[in-house]
Amino acid sequence: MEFKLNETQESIQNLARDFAEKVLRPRIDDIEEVGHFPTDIYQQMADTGLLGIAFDEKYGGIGAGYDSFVLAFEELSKVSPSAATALLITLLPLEAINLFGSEEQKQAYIGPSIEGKLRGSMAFTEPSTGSDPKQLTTTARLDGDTWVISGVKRFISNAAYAGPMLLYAKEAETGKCTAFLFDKPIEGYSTSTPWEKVGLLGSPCYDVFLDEVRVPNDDFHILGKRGDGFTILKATTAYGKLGFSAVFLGAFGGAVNAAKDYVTTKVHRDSTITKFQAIQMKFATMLSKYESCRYMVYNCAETANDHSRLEEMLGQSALVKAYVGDTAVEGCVLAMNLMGSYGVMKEYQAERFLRDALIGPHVEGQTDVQRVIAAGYYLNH
Amino acid sequence: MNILVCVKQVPDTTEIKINPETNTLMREGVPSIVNTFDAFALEAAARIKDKDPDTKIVVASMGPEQAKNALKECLAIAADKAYLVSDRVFGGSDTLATSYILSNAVGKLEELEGKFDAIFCGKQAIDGDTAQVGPELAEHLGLPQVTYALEAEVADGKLKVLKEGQDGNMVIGVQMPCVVTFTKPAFDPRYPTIKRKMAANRAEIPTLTSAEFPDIDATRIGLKGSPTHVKKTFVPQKKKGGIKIKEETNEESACKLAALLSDAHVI
Repeated sequence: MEFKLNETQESIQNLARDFAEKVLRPRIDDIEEVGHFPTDIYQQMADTGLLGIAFDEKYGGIGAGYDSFVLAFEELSKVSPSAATALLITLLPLEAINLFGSEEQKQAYIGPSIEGKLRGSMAFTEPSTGSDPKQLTTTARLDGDTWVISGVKRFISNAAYAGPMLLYAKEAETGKCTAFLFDKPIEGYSTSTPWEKVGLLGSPCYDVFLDEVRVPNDDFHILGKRGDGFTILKATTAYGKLGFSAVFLGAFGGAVNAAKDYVTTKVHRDSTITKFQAIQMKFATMLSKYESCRYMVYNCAETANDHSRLEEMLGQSALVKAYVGDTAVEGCVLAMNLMGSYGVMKEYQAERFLRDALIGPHVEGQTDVQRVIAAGYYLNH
Repeated sequence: MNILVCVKQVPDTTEIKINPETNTLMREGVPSIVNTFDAFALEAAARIKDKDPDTKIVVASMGPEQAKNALKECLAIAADKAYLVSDRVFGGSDTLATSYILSNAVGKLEELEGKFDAIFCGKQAIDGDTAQVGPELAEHLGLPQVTYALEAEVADGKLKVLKEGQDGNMVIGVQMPCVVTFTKPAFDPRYPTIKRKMAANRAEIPTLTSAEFPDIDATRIGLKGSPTHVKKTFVPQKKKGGIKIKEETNEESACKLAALLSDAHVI
């Protein structure tokens, strides 16, 4: 058991921390207000290599593993959870391609995406279903040598950018869930205006309308095999849950930092309010929650590094996302309470971290669903 | 194009605290950084390399062993090679002695890396603020110099330098080889990439000691070779900050004052 970071981990953590302070913090208002993530910052993050941390050097990545990846995303999120989310969304279809894709698919999408040239999306959720593949209504019908896909997908991030679309649809003839892979935009593909969310304002999501989108029936345009859709979805979202756990861990960390800054500078009768036991106890309670989240996320990242532990990853990532999602919200509230009335003021940042953390229990599968998945794994292992 | 960038490792002055009892700087635990103006010089070299990828950027720093961290930072950002100039006999050097040692280092570095077309420095270090080492280095080497540069590019075999002046900016053409000292440009220096950072962590940085400069005049280096000495370090009394408001009309000035006071939650 090793709790000390190695040189690579420390180096990437420091770089991400420094980047967040120097590049992201001065642009927080831009990120939060424009309704989409500023293109120049996104490109700068890509140029820095933040999208490629866990990917193989063969595809233009850094090859530093998911341990370094979570450390970097935690640091970015301590300043801007929206920024980390903008990157994470691009990574979701890439994780699927990395795990299940052919060499041709990997070469086509992983390198260009981590260079910031493509911004992919993954589309499963629909207006009438959340996590149940049997309720999918988006269908793919074979018409000669072409799949014809029609339906509506909901809450799809990056939908308005060019890049790979990993879309799960039910085959009309067999009823099987298959993962289709194609370049967006494409004829018949359109998006709604962005949804207005409570947090993560720099990472908008859309509904996607598929009106007889035609995709060639060949190996390149299907990820894995026909009918593998739900297997691919489960594995990919496991990595997504780890990524989002790092983001909400960071949001919690940002709130902790804001609260610490406040209590160590707020003066009462010539000394700071840290002299009060009520402050000390709240602070320690908040910190214990943060530390427990950190080690759960780091431990899960170790599991993620080993693809042969995928089954364990499915259960562990669900457990971690459920815990970190809920605990980050509690922690941000504690941070705000430590700051008194200032905690609810925008200038003091904690309210932004809370609004971002509120997305945690809902994204990449709702908390209760995660608990059921986790119980399903741990009751049998 | 072969560019040498001289850098200094300095304490991050934004992190420095004052010991209220002794009124001296508390440097313990203060992170060290690449001198801000040297980072601008490195960025200027990197921009030349952006246009001509065959450009080689060599960085050198005179200082203790830990200055290798600053050199690694430069490697992570844009430099191709890095050298530390370090020896106990160099300790205590003032600006004149430092620039003399660096001028000897340039000779040795040119043996190793080829003739330099340009030597870039920051205009001054943020800890000493003398702004003397760059110009003195040019004098020791007998090279033309341009100070207060904002940007530089190669044009028609010369270096075209945008230079800050008191009454406005100037564009100066200077023959190479030359020395250019840089001030803050309109753009931020680039950020290191993770790949370069990891490669920089693994980089071996050679150290040039006094043994590498057999012809150096020992009476011109170190504390004994320095004509100037720091007698006392103190923190100047803090002046109260002020803002001058002078809009086109008195009414506009009053409005601006009210807005500033309102933003500061005074009214």
